Amino acid sequence: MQELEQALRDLVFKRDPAWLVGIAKERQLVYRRLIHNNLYDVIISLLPLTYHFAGAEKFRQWIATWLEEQGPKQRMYWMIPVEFAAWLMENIVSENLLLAELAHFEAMQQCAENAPNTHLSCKLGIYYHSVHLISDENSTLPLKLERPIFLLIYRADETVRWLEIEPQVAQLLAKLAEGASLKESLDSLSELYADLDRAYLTAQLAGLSHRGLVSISETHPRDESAVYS
Amino acid sequence: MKANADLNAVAKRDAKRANAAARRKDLVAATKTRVKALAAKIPAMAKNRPSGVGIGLRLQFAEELVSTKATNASFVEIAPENYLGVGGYRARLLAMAKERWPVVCHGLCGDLAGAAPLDQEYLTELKQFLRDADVHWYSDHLCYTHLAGVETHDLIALPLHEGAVRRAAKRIREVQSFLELPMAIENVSAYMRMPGSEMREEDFVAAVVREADCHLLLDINNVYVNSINFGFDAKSYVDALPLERVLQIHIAGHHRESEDLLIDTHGASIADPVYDLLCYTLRKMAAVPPILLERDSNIPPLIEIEQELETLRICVEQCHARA
Repeated sequence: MQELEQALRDLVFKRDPAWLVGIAKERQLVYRRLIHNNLYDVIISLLPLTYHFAGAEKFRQWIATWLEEQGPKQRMYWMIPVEFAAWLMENIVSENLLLAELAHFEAMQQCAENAPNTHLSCKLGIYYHSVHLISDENSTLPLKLERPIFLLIYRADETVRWLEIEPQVAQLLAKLAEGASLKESLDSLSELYADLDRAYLTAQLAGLSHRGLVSISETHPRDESAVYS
Repeated sequence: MKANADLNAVAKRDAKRANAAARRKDLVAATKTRVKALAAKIPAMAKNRPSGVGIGLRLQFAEELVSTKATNASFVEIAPENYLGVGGYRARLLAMAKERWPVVCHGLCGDLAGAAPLDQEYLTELKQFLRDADVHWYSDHLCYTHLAGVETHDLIALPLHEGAVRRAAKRIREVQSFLELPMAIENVSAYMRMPGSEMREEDFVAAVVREADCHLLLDINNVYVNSINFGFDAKSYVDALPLERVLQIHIAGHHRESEDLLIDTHGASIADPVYDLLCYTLRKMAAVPPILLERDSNIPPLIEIEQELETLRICVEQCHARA
């Protein structure tokens, strides 16, 4: 049965289908068509701007390549475009950084929208293009920035929103997300920035906490021994 | 003396009445206590058990459905894969649905006969989800959903042979035992017979149900679709199934691609021959199980879905009355 599964995978997902012997091609094509249509539909509907700006042909080629090389691994239906966007980030960055970032931004919105209520919905995106300003009404796309922007993408009142944060705050959040305490994180950043303003960063963090974007556990937000997530 | 005797008689009579009233009161109290105790012992089963006709909860109309005052749906079905671990809007819709109707959970990615090992982490999360949803059974499809490392998010027919029966039955028993819930497997629509197939489809389904000691979710539209796609008699197929094992019925519309090829789209109204087959099946059954209308694509306004639910409900009542 393992051999049959591999044969079916090759039939469905290879760009040049590996036909099964003794079965009408027209019937084999039904499975291929149904599965592709279903996956294409969910990806296009949840990454609409990336699809719009990439164009149907290029976008479909990307999906076909992804399906052949990797394909979905998760059971959750809404995760399909998220997995695809992660693949795009790895595979088309050199070809088209803007569209890879746009796909990532759209996927992070899905993650924030569906994040469990028991966890913070906040996701961090680092982009060299102002992807948050793109809509399907744009006739021109933003140019590459000299320095990246840092966007916190989160859900509030069932609506996905985003907030641009300063690079040092983003780096601090990344350290905290790894499980470091505030003091450890600030110490680590001090090695990168000689003039690091610890009080300012701590106040910024407390502000994010106040808005419910990060959670503070153990101690008071201004205490540098606090652990954030 | 007579007056005293009369008084004694009245007193005796009153005392007798008072005793009888007290006994009745005790009896009522005792009965209430027993009923309460029994009710506490009855698992949620009788309380919230799905029945009648229901609808698959789809985001396209879920908000409207949960807020509407009058609906023909008496239960709703959800796919855990769309709600498990999800918060926000979907979680709110699910919570509202659970407050209003019995909810049944129908898996999409169980891969019940696949070669990959069962995903214990997923099953653990699923078990908790099913407990929270207060379901009476769990169902999934008798098919492949995972192909050599890839989730297809679709339903792919199995090869119909003894080896596949044993494989599927073993996995279903394991899942059923782990989830501690009765499990029903659904017969799927198919477009080609897989290499190695050597059984009739109905015998294959019946054999898996028997060997796994599980239940059947009978999809009437899938039986009809396959009867056209493979040229068999749909009623004979139904005759061969263990109908006493049917926990739930699915019904939906399909798309006719050619004379001998139907596609199970869930994107149209139920076709007349499918209604006929439903009626035929119900007449053979001792009781009518909950019947779910599936509408997953080309979704019309809710009012049209409500009309179809009403048509379905009337059809079921008429078939049952004739039986």
